[in-house]
Amino acid sequence: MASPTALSDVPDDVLLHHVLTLLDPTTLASFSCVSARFRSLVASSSLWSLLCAVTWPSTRSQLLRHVIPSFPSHDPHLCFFSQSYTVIASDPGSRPRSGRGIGRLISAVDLRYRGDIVFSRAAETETSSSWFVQSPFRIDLLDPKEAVPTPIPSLDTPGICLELRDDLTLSWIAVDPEGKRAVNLSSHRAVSVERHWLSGEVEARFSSVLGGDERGTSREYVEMVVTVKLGGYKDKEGATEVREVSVRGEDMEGNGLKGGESLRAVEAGGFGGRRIGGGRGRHEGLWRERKEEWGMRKARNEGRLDGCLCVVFGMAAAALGFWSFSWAATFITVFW
Amino acid sequence: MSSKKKVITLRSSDGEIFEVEEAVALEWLTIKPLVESGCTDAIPLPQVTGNILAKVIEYCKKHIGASESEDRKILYELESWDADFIKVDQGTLFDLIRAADYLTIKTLFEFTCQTVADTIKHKTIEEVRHIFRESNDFTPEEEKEIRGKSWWLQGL
Repeated sequence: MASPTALSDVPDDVLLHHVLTLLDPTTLASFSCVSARFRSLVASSSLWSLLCAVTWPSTRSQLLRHVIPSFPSHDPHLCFFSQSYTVIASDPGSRPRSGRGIGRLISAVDLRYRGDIVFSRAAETETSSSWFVQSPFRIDLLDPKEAVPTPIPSLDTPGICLELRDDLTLSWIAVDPEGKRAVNLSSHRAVSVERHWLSGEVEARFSSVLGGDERGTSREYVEMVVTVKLGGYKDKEGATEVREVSVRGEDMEGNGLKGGESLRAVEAGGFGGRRIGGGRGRHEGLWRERKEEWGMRKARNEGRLDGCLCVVFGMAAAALGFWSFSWAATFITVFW
Repeated sequence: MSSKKKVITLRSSDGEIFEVEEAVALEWLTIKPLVESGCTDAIPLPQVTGNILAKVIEYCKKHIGASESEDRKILYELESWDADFIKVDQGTLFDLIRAADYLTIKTLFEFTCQTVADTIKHKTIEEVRHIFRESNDFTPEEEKEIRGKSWWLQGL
């Protein structure tokens, strides 16, 4: 060969399908600025459909296969990718208002251990029924009797909870299939990993903070939580399985939210929220702050109420005393 | 060559003759049917030059059997061997990708693609241009537009 082979001699489909799919979006963005050829490669829609499938295998499920191509953009997969890759702002500015409503909600959950997929699934929730609106909000991605084996080391390994805080990452994409919107409502890394003292199960929580229904109450801010429960794999000594992956909503006192409340929070803070790159530290700090602030406010209010009640009771007692005294005095004067 | 193992003869684009064990050739999906049919003639590989074919054979010989090993020490050694193996000039790297693609050798193809991807990561635009000898063929207006926004976030 006369001149050495250059990158331009490598076929486009090899670059597209086997090299660019290994890159993260930030690198791709800068790669696209190199030359016109690279830019057209990165702008190709097949790359983004592949990247969606590689980043979130759950999006390959039957439920989402037809939803993503209908996203409102000339490149629906890129549109879905950019909505789902970014994390919503940790500071929940937007409050629920009467939006267009969500008739159905698809949850696509992908759990990774050290970057490798260990669990991927999508589930659909019917959200328009009054039963859903009134019942406690909970989406289960795994049947109660089901368990998924993983390559996670034995839960008896010393320091496993600390390790899992760094090694487990989770993505929960909430998709509104009718409104063609998607949002990633996970903290990426776990906000807490704890071992249950009795069962030995390890529970990892991933979450995001959204604006809630009522200002000035414990639901001013709410937390959407994805709980992952890990346990020892029955068939093999020292192996670990995923036993539960579920989504719930909690207020600042830790009380569960109902379906309707959760959906409104997801719609306003999620689909309508500001998107940024998120971080565990910021999120955790924020939620703790909100909870503490609420706790103090509540204590203050209760303190004030206690004070009021004291005064009322005191006065009532005094009045009663006076009344009985005057009656007694009347009796005495009459019957004496 | 041991008499027990069946040997396959390959001919590169520049007429060089190579002999490989059947087990190695069976990993190359493109020529697998030919090997299985018991072809005894030299198999012509018109898209691969002799020096690249030698590298490909070297890689496959080393990896056969070793990749599936669960012995950490073997895997660690293989990793460092790979790192030395891939210290080649860019032309050779791209030739290896094309050869692995042409011969359908999954392990080598994935490894070489990963190497290119790793080269691109954490580099500035100018660095990537320099490494891959790509020229900046944007018009000044295009360049200004591109630099002005993170377009992938906005759905293009």
